[in-house]
Amino acid sequence: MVHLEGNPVLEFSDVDLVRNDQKVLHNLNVTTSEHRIGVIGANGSGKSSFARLLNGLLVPTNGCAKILGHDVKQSTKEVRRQVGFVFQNPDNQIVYPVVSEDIELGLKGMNIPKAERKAKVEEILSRFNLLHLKDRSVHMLSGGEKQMIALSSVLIMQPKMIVFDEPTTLLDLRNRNVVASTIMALEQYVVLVTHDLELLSAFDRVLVFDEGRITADDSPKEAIAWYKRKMAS
Amino acid sequence: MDLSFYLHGNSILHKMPTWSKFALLVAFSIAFYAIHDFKILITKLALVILLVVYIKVPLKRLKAMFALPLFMVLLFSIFSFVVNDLNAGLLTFFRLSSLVILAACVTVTTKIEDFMAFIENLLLPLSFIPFIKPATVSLTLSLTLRFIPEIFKLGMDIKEAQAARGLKSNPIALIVPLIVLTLKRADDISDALDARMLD
Amino acid sequence: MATKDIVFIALFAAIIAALGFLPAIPVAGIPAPITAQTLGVMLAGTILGPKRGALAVAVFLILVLAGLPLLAGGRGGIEYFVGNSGGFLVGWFFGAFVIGFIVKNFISDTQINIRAHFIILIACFLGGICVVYLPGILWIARNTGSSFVDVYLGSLVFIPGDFIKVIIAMLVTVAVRRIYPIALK
Repeated sequence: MVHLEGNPVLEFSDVDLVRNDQKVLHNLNVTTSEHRIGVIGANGSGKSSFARLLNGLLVPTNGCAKILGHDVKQSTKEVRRQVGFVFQNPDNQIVYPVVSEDIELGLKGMNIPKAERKAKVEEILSRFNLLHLKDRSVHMLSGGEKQMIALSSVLIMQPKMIVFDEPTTLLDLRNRNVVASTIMALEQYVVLVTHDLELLSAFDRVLVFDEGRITADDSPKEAIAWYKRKMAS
Repeated sequence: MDLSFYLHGNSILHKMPTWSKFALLVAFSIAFYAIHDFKILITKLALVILLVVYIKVPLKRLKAMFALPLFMVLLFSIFSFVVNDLNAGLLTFFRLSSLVILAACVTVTTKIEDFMAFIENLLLPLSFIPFIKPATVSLTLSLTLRFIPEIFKLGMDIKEAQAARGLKSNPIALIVPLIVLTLKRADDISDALDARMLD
Repeated sequence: MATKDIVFIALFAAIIAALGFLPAIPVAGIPAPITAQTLGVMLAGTILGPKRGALAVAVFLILVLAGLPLLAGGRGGIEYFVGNSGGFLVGWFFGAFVIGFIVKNFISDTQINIRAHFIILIACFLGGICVVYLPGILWIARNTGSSFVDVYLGSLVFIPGDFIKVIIAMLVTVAVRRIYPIALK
């Protein structure tokens, strides 16, 4: 794991976020330094917006959000370089028609020679035993394969942190398990937004969102129990 | 969905750089309009037919490759004959048929990625226009290729869903949701691109 | 150009291609079914606007030129540009631009009244028929050594099918703008 010399991983102070004239996050204050953070909450509770703040896809309307020590508003580029993002639907994340081309995309802007880029692509695919998919057309892959390709395309950039926005929602149980164990094996900092509560059992800390506010912040066991009680009432 | 006409082979036409094939085609088409001598025109047609044999186009591909373009050439030659005279009709036929056959030969001997690289180089002098930066052009072309099968599948899904509800095939009821769903997806795709591109 | 514009252009080019594969539109009274592809060209203009609409058509045409079988019925390659259809294909680009230009400048983003219906209809007629046919006819006249008027009269056969497309394009545009309006560019 990357050590940050005592700096917090996430540091939100008084963060408000307005989207389409609607306030979706209210006065968030949270500081974390754990390896794996889970984020849960009902639909529309603000957790996806929270995730998008973590790599600068959105920036706070008011307040200050620091990720890995960088202010999201002022150093969006640096934050993006260090924070990878895996979306719910890999079909929207994979933009090139062939697997290897897509994984290479992020490297293209970095002045890395072509041969080296190719080597990196093969290395990352071998790591997940997916080398046989290298020259496949993306259209022909299964949902689980697509999600693993999306993750590979993020990992090849060597981020320090990866944000997952409901990565298992569209997967069958078998593929969900593959993605889950891959996430647990990552050395990077992880923030995982999910409705799949079991995924979080071995996480270090879980935040519960409700109507744009953090209403619980605890160990997975406690936070999930609280969330279940709340959803039942 | 097979998205390529490329014919594997080892001929000179396969090996020629893409730009030279294009230069050849342009030269050929300019030369055609300067020539009125049927002896030369017939010789040229014979030469391009020999070229088809030389690059070893399999018999079963011939129809897909030439049937429609040549049918159109024939149609327009007849048109020219009717509104002008026999001479004009024959000129049209010999000029266009050899040109179309030559163009088809270039198409089947050029890999799509080679052609795309050629287009990107061709646009290089225009790269001062923001949209025509080589990286942007290549990204846009790839994105389109990536999403053609997806959108086609979406169209088939919409048709199926409407058929399941007992609705008759109606172009408006198909195209409206196809476009709306695709435009809505653009948000997610551009978010994902922004998250992944570092420049 | 923002990332979103690039995505819109690419997705619409893909829509134009997909419309060439989807089953054609059967029309009572016309023997040959009309393909939805030129409809896609008109819609690129009315829905994306002049610049993005024309660029979406350009992207589609570059892929056809590259040899991808994306023209209706699975056709493609340089031969369709040097052959008689070449002028029409080039006309698509300008047609989408003119349609987008008219729609962008003459109707407001929010109001969809009778006047807006009428303007979209006029835009699709001028851009989708007049502007597309002009280079198409010139091209054929040059290729066949015929006069402009002869070719023009000959191409009148295709006008009824195109009229139907203009009407469908108008109805689709109005519906899409009601459900999911995007600013024209």
